[in-house]
Amino acid sequence: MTSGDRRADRLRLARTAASVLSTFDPARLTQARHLAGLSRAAVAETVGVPGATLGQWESGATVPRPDQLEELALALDVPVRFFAAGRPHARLDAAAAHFRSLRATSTAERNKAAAYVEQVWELTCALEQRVQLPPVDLPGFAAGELARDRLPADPAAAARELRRHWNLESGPIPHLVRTMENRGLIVTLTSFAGSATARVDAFSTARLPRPVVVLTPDRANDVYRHRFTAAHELGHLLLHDNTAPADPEQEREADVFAAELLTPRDQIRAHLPGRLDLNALRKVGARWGVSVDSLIYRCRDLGIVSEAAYRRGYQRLRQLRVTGLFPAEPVDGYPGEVPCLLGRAFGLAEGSGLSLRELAAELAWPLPRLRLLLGIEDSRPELRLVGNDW
Amino acid sequence: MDRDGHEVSRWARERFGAAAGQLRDAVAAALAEAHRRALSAHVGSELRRTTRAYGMPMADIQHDAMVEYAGAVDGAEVIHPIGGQYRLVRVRGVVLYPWRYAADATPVREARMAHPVSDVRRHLLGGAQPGSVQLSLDEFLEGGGDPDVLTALAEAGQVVTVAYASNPGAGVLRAYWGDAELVDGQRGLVMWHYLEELPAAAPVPEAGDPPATTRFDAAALEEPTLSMRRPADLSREAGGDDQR
Repeated sequence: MTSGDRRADRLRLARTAASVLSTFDPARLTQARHLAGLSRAAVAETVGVPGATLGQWESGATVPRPDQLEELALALDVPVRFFAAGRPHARLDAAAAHFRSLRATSTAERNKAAAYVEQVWELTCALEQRVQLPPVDLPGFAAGELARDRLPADPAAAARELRRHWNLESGPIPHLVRTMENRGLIVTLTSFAGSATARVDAFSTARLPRPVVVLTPDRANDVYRHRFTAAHELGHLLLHDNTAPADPEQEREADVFAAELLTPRDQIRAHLPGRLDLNALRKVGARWGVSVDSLIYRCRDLGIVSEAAYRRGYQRLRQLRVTGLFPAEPVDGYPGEVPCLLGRAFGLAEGSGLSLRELAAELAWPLPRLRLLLGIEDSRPELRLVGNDW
Repeated sequence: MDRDGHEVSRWARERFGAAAGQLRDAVAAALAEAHRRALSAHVGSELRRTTRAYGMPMADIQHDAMVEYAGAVDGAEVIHPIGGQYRLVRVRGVVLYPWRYAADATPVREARMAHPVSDVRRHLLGGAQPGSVQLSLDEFLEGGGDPDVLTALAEAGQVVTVAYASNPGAGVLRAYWGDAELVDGQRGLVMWHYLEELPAAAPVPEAGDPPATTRFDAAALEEPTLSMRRPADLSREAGGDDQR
């Protein structure tokens, strides 16, 4: 690039910043900061302004100068146009999502997760402008709202009702994630927060026009754990209107819901062995798509084994796991458990002329971010500086 | 033909007589049981990166299991080799000698004994040839272990080697019996003059190959129903579809 080109680029950027300022959306600044996982103080320091100034920008009390906007874009790794108003933006407070555990999750990480879901919704919205997605089919869901009084309050009864509603009344559920997507739910499985994704764990929200379930790759190392997590989040969506993140009672109810959805009590009882034979439980688990752990729990729950046998069973299973004799099966071998809806929708739109670049420009996202959310691998070779360490 | 319908070979009948079929099943069961016990040791050890807690006790467990199962066959007797810390089973004067030759799918004919080979192994298997002269092992097993006697015993083909491969995850992979000769004790080289695969051992409990059962995902995978929107759809919905 010549110095002339650089000057032209610089001028173009300055013009963009100036034009964005006229429609500056403070909420986008907050969203970008949350996505970057940074505190106000950290961003303020990078941009070279007092922390209070950043607070004023985010509240809309004042507006940054064009050069400050460029600095913000650089610090937060978004295009300058990201800060412009005019694009659909569904606000999601982190408190509106069902996080399983708050112990290991910092506020910044939860904000990052909520901002990620906002982006998932924006992407869904952009694709729905072009592609008709399956309508949301949950009991009590209408016009973007879930009326939870349509379902029994008892978690096991609610799971049975969902099975009935989805015509899954008998036998194992063969492809749970695909079933959820085909009923109009948005399910994602990406490392949206890098190495911190595992700490965030799975979560879900019904505060958006389409319920969103976020599954995390760490649990996808074990397809049974992954399925149970998906069922657990479905339980939260259907049972818990008022989110009380990490509330033990809500978590217990979601577990009961998941167990009943995947292995209905009246159906699984006949398949469980009379004693905790782990090999027999493993076969039952493979047939029903659940872990041996959950079946051991089920055996105790149904009064098939004593409390002492239950504890011994877990101990034995733990030992087998430690020594590598009960290897987990990753979700990769199970296409019905890997989300595909958004990727397929983009594929259809792409066939009608939409390119990744156009969609990224429309959303004002960097291209890698769009690829991540669509689950599209970047096949381009990675460029690295090699040679001297200067 | 044994009770499970497996043909009993002429070689086995020559070695063990009428008990050959029963003995063969007992040997297979002994190996399965040995695996189960070694697996318990391995699991109890909770060692993550090594299977030594399986392999090392197996060296003793295999003999105990063989005594327990093969030793119960009609006409079998249990003997104590000099210099060995274990017992062996002898049927019609022929000693059964278990050897875990591999932990994986290594072909049995390519397997070597851990070398240098122990004295007992060398005496039992060294220079063995399939022969017809039946000499007593008593002098070696209960007497003084005179080298001349040992050589004579080895030449007489009084030992049948039970060779098997096993590991904690897959159980007993393969098992054979036959006439083996240790041709080079320094390098652990073994030559098989006769080799016969044993029928599959009993199922391995609690670990092993993925269970043969209908899997939960054995059902058609329904594609999401997607279609391109028409401009009329969008104009109909315009005005109320987002939360700006």
